[in-house]
Amino acid sequence: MRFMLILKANPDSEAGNMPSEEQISATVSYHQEQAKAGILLDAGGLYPSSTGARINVSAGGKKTVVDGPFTESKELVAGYWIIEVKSLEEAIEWAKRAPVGLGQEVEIEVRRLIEFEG
Amino acid sequence: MRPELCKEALRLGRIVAGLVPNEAEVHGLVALMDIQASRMHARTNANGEPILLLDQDRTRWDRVLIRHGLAELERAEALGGTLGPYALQAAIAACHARASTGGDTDWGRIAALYDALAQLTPSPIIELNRAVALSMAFGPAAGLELIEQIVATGTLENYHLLPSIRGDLLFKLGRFAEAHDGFLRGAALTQNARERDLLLRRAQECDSTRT
Repeated sequence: MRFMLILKANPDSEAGNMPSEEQISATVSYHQEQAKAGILLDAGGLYPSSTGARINVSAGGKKTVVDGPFTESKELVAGYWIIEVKSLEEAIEWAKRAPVGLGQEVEIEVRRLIEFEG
Repeated sequence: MRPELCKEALRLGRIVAGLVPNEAEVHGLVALMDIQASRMHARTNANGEPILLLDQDRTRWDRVLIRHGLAELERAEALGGTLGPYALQAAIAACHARASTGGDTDWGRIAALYDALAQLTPSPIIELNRAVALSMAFGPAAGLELIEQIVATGTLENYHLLPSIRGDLLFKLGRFAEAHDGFLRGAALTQNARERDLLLRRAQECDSTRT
């Protein structure tokens, strides 16, 4: 089954601070580990919300565009991994090993992706 | 198809690619398996009957697998050297994966890739596929020329797709009497009842078009 590990934003990522050397090399080896286990399908990082926008659709179908940045950083997404594993437990194990934080409070949400049946 | 077996093959392929990241052909194989598997849920209808590639609902293709497969193919290409048979087949599959509709397919590139593949691993089946790609890229006459060369070698003489495809190209060229014979021969050779019906219908179509 496929899971998306959703890395939530923090003030640092929202400020657009570049990751440290240490952070980058830890991420590279994390991706290498995932590749060796044959589970990594895709991964990506997002620019701060100040470079993005939101489209709100009302119940009546009216669309309103709101430009970033957005303030509630814990609700924002900073990056993701898509992995193919056997269970939610395995996905959680991989999320726990993600080299994030390093002195900052961060959250990773683990969600199963819907796949075609049959 | 056995989806669980396919998934296991994909998983093992990815592990091998992770272990020997500098082997271009391993990435080529992973890319090929990913892109083929991306069509798994589009290639049969509700009754389990096969749907041909060009008739498939492309919105049912698995975008995540396509993305991963295209990235793996890029890795194989970036490692340099001549592409191996897996990477070449992956590059052909990628031409289909990149086209949002059948009409957008880069058939000229597919024909060139089949040409490269035929040089590495010569086979009349690859030539037959190349003939189809040529006909899609440059018209039925271009494909027919190669088909006649395959017929002349005597290989594949009991393979139903050779006369069936020949019939189709002749039909498009307005050579209905010869097309008729091609469809009939294809119908006589196929083991598949549904395919036989289709070919017999096409043979009849030749008769009615002539009169």
